Amino acid sequence: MKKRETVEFPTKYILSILTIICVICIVLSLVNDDFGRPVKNAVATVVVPVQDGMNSVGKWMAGKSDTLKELSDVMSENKKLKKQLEKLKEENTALLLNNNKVEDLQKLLELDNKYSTYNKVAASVISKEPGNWFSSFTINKGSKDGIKVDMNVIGNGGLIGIVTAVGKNYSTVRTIIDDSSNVSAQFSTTSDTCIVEGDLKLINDGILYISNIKKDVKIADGDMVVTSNISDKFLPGIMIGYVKDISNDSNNLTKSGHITPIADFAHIEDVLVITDLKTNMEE
Amino acid sequence: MLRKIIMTALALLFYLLQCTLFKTLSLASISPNLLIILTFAFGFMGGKRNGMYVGFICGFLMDVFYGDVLGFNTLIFVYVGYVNGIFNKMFFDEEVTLPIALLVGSELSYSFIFYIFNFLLRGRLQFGYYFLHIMLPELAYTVIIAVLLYRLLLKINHKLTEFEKRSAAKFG
Repeated sequence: MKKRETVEFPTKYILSILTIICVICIVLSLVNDDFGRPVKNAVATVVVPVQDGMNSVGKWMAGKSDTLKELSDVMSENKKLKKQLEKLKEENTALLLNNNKVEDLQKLLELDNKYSTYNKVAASVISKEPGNWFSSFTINKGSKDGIKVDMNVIGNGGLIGIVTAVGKNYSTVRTIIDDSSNVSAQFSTTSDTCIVEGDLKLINDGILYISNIKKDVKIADGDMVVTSNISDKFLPGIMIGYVKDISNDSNNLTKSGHITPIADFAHIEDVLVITDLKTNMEE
Repeated sequence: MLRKIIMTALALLFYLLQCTLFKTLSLASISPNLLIILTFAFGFMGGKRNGMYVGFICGFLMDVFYGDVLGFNTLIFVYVGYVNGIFNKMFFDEEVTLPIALLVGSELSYSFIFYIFNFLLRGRLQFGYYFLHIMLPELAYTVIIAVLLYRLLLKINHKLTEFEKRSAAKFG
């Protein structure tokens, strides 16, 4: 055993061989998306069950501490909700008086109905991106549960992200706050389109960047933004969030601003994957 | 052989911890880079060969689940392990400054390369912002965790070397 070790390969050769392998892998996976899937699946069959187990242990512990918090939370929430109810009542009467807005509301209702007819699969988050640069996570459902690439993911009633990679028993979801995410969206009140972009600089504030709004669009802070009809990957009418800080761009043709998402990206635990694909919807 | 198994298990454990526990312990959405600590530590303590081995597994795990292209992180981590392995000749248990300097170097170069390929090439030019708000906090957090973990890794390395010596004596 000892003798064999003395005639070992020089480390420099190992380094160059590994480098060549890596470079070939990089090139092949740039050319072909499916490259490496068997290897990925093989690794995932070992790692994902472990992650799933760790996740349930974590959840159980979090649940214990949550029950203690819950009581005080419920009481303060009750107060808040009562206030909100009064406010909503006022708003509601104002809306009823305003005949023009009824049509808009009907449109919204239609969108809402569409939204509830989508087929969904529940999944839980088992791990998050290890680095600090991007924001994506892995869920415990994969191709054997019918998940496909480009399916939309929602949670807390709002859009969370899109499936970017699928393995047998896991899939990776890129969130809309990820720096490389772009979502084609529209205002639920005026149907004017815009682009919602994730930005690493805004992640800490929990907001996203919104741009490409035409200058003459009449919107105000607090208007709702939903995914648009013209997006080729996102299903129409999924709520994204509410606009704020809208201002004119320096080109004086468009407006841009920020958007507060509905989903709480800091505490994503369970999500719903919509199994209807936008590309199949027109059929 | 035992060393390889232990290193693989540690890489898997550190990867899982980084994706789950340390994501919930993140401060201002920054979490430490445990895999760089592991790669640096085994490269420095065990030499180029071990460094490359651990780097390969760590990078590969990241690529499998979160890499856009398979091999990108693997390549960087293999080189991090190799370069740290060069300094293996100067490795002593009590030395403090060199390991910290090496870790800082490893972490910064990883961040730099990652920034260049994933952000700069997409037109995100504000390097100063990313340096101050992502790289530096990550570096600080990683060094703090490394100070706590390094003793443990040293002990594991010590046990492994002892075991290897004993079995070598047995077979030799």
